[in-house]
Amino acid sequence: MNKKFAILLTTLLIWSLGVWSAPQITTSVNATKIGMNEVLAVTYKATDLSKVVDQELPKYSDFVQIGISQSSSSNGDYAITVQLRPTKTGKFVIPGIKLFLKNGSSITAQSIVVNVVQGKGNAVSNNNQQRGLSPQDMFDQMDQQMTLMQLYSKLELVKTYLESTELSKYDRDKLKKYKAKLESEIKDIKENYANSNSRMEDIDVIPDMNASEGFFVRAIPSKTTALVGEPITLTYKIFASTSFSNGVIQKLPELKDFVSKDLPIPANPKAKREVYQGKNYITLDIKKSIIFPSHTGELTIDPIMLSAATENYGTVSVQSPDVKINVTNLPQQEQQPAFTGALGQFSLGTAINTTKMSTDDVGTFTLTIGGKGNFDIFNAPQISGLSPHLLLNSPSVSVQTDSTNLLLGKKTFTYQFSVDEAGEYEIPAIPFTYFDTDNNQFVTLHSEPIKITVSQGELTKTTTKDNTGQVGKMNGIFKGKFPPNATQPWATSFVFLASLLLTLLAVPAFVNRKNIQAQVKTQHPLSSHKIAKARLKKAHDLLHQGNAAAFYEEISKSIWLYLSESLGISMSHLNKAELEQKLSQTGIAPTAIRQTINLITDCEMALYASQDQVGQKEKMLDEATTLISLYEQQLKSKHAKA
Amino acid sequence: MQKLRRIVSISFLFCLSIIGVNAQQHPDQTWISANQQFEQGDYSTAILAYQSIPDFEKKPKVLYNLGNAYFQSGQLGRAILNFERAYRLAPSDKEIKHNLAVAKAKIQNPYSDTSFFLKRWWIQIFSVFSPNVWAVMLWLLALLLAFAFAWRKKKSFAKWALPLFAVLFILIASVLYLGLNTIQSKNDAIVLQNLQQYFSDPNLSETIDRFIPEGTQIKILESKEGAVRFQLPNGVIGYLNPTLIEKI
Repeated sequence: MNKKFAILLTTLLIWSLGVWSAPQITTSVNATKIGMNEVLAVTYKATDLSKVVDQELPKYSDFVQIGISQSSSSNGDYAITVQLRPTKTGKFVIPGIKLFLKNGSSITAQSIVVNVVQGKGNAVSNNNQQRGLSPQDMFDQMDQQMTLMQLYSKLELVKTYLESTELSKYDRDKLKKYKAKLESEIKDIKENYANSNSRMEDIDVIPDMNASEGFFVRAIPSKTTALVGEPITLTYKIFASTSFSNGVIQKLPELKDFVSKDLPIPANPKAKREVYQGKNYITLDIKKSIIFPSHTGELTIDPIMLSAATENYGTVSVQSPDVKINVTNLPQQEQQPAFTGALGQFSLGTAINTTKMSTDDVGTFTLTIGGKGNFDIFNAPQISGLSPHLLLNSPSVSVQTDSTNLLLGKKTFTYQFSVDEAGEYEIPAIPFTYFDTDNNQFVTLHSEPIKITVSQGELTKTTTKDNTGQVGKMNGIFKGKFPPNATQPWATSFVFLASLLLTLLAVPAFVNRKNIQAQVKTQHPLSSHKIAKARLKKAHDLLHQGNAAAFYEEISKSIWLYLSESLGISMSHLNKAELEQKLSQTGIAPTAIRQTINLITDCEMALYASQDQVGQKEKMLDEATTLISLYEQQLKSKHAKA
Repeated sequence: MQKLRRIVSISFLFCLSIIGVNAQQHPDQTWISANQQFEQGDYSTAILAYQSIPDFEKKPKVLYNLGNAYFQSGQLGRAILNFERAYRLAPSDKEIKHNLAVAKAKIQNPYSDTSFFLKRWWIQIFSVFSPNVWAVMLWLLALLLAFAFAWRKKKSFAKWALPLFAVLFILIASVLYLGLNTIQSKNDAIVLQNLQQYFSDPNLSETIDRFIPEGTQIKILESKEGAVRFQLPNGVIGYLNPTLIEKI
C-alpha cells in the first residue's frame, strides 16, 4: 500500500513538475562596457510565455530609460529590450525582470554588471541599439509591406471597377473618393519606407559576407526539373539567426522564362523555426508564387533583393542566389493533336443554353475543364467537324481557382454561335488531351455531342454572300430605275397642319351654322314678336309726340323685321314680292298678305309724301298690331304642328 | 468675212457645250455603273460611285445600296449609318428595315436600349406605314372627329363615336409625331469603329475602359470643338473625339 502510494505521489510530482516547470529567463546586454554617449540595450528573454501572467521591470537607477520594445514568437518565446542611457560613469548592476507565473510564484532574471566609461565602450552600434531590433519589428515591416500590397490590390480592383462597370454617378463619385483615399494611404506608407531607408543610409553597411551566415534570403522551388507548363511552387524565404527589422523588398524577380501567378500571403505572416545546413534559423515566407516554365532548357529563377536592419550585422542588403530549373518537353507531345498545354488531372463538361433555336437567334455553348493543373496556361480545345452553317465565335475565357491553391479550379470557354440555315445540326464530341503528371501519360477526354434543331428565322429569309464568303442575311441591292429623292413628309408641312386644324375647327362650325339656319327655318323665334311689339309701342309713343316720319318708319320696320326673322329671309333679300311668296308658302291667308303689303306701301307713301293724318296713323298702328298678332298665331301653330 | 467668223465661233461654243455635257456622266449612268461595280464585288469603287450621285443623301434607295456596299466591304459602322439614313427617309421600306436590322445584329456585344418600352413600340408601329399614310389617316380621323363633335347632340352614334375618334386621333397623332421626331432627330450618331475606351471628362484626359462596338447608335448631348458629350443606349454618358462618330 505504502509502495503504491509512493508511486502515485512520485507520478503526481513528476506530472506537476512537467506542467509547472518554470519558464527559463535570461538577461543579456549589448555591451558590458559602454560609453557615456552610448545606449545600453538590456534584453530579457523568456520561454513559455503562456505561464506568465504579469511582469515587473526593475528600476534602473543611474540610467534613463529611452525606449522599450517587446516581441513574441509562435513557439511562446518572449523578449523585452529596454534601451538605457547612462547618467554617470562607474560600475552598475542591471537588475533582472520579475515575472509572475500562473501558479502564483514569481521568478526574477539574473542581474548583470555593466561598466560605464567616458568615451567609447564596446557596444556594437548605438544606432542599432536605438532601433530596438527585434523579430517583432521585422514583422511590423512585413505587415507594412503586405498592407501596401493589399492596398495596391484594392486600388487595382477599384480601377477595374471604375472602368469596366456601368455605374451611377453617385457610385462613381464614391469609388473615386475611395480610390483617392487608397492612393493617399499608399503614398503615406511609401514615405515611411523612404524615411526608414534614409535612416539606414546613415548606418555602416556590414558586408553581406558577414550577414550571409546569419541573415539571407532564398528562392525555393518545389522542383528543379519540370516539364513545359508544369506548375512549380516558388517560395522566397528569409533565414535569420539574428533579430532584424525594417525589411524592405528592393527588387522583385522578373521571371522572364515563366508564367507566374502570386499566391496569397497572410496579412500577418508567422515566423517559423527551421534548421538549414545544420543551423537553427527563424524563417519568414515573404513571397510565394506558382510559376509555369514557358519553354524548354535550363531556366533561371532570378533573385529577389531585400534589405533589413539586423541586430548582429547592422543594415544588410541581401539577394537570393539564382536557382536553375531544368525544363524538358513532354514526351511524344507532337503525337497528341488535341493537346493544348494542359498538365494535371482534369475533367471535361459541356453545356448549351438551348437546343432549339431559329436562324435569327444566337446560342451560347460552354465548355468547362475542371480539376487540378495549369489552368492559366492551356488553351481552348480545338473544335472540328462543325457544319459550315454553324458559326462559332472565338470563346471568352474565365478561370476560377481556389483562393489558397491556385492549381485547383476550373477554366470555362464560352462560345456564342449562330446558324444561318434551318435544319438539324450537331456540335460534335470535342477532344481534350492533357498530360497526367501523376501517371506521366497523356489522357484524352471527349465531350458529349450536342444536337441542335434550327428553324428558319424572320431575318434570314433572303440571303446574299457577304464579304467573308459566308452566307449572310442581307437583302441584295436595289437595281431598279434611278431612284427619286425622298419627299418631305406631309405631316410636317404647314399646309397639312393648317388643314388639320381647319378640319377640326371649321367642320363643327359649319355644321353648327347649318343647324342654326335649320333652326331658324323650323323654329319661330319668340324674341322677334317681342321686338315687334316693342317697336309698335314706340310707334304709339311717336304718334302722340307728333313725329310722323319716325312713326311710319317704326311701323314699317316692325313689320319688315318681324317677317324677316320669322320667315328666315335676310333683309338684303327681302322685298315685297319675296315676302308675298314666302307668306303664301307659309299658308297665310291671301287677304292678310294683301293687307300687309298695302300697309307697308302706305307707310312708305306716307313717309315720302309727308301725309300727316292722325286718324290714319292710328288705323295703321292698329292694323300693324293686328297683322303681327295674326302672323304670330299662325306661325306658332305651324311650328307646333311641325 | 465677219459673218463667217461669227458662225465659226458660235459653232465652236456649241461643240464645247456638247462636250461639256457629255463629259459629266448622267446620274442614271452612275447609278447603273455603281450597281455593276457592286455586283462585280468591287465594293470600294461602288461606294465612290454611289456617293458621286447628286443628292445621293436624299435618295433612300441609293443610301440603301451604299449601306450594302459598306457592309460587304466590312465597314459595319458606315453600313449602319447609311441604312439608318435610308430608313429615316423611307421608314416603311421593308428592305431597308430588314438590312438595318441585320446589320445591327452584327454589332459585337451591343448595348441594350433602355428607352421607355412604349416609345420603342410606337416607333415600330410607325414604321408599318409611310409617314404620308399616317398623315392621311390622321386627317381622316380629324374629319370624323369634327363631325362627331358637331353632331354630338343631334346624332345618337356621335355619343360613342366622339370618344372613340378622339382616342384614335390622339394615338395616331402620337405615333406619327413620335416617329417623325425620331427619324428627324439631328442628335443621333453612329460609332464608326470599335472603341476600347471613352472619356469621362471634356478634356478627354480621364479614360473609361469600356468597349463601345462599331455601329452603336449614340445620342449627342453637347458638341464642342474636339469633344462631344454623348449618351449610350443604356443611358451612360461620356465624352468622345468627334472624328470617331458620324451624325445620322
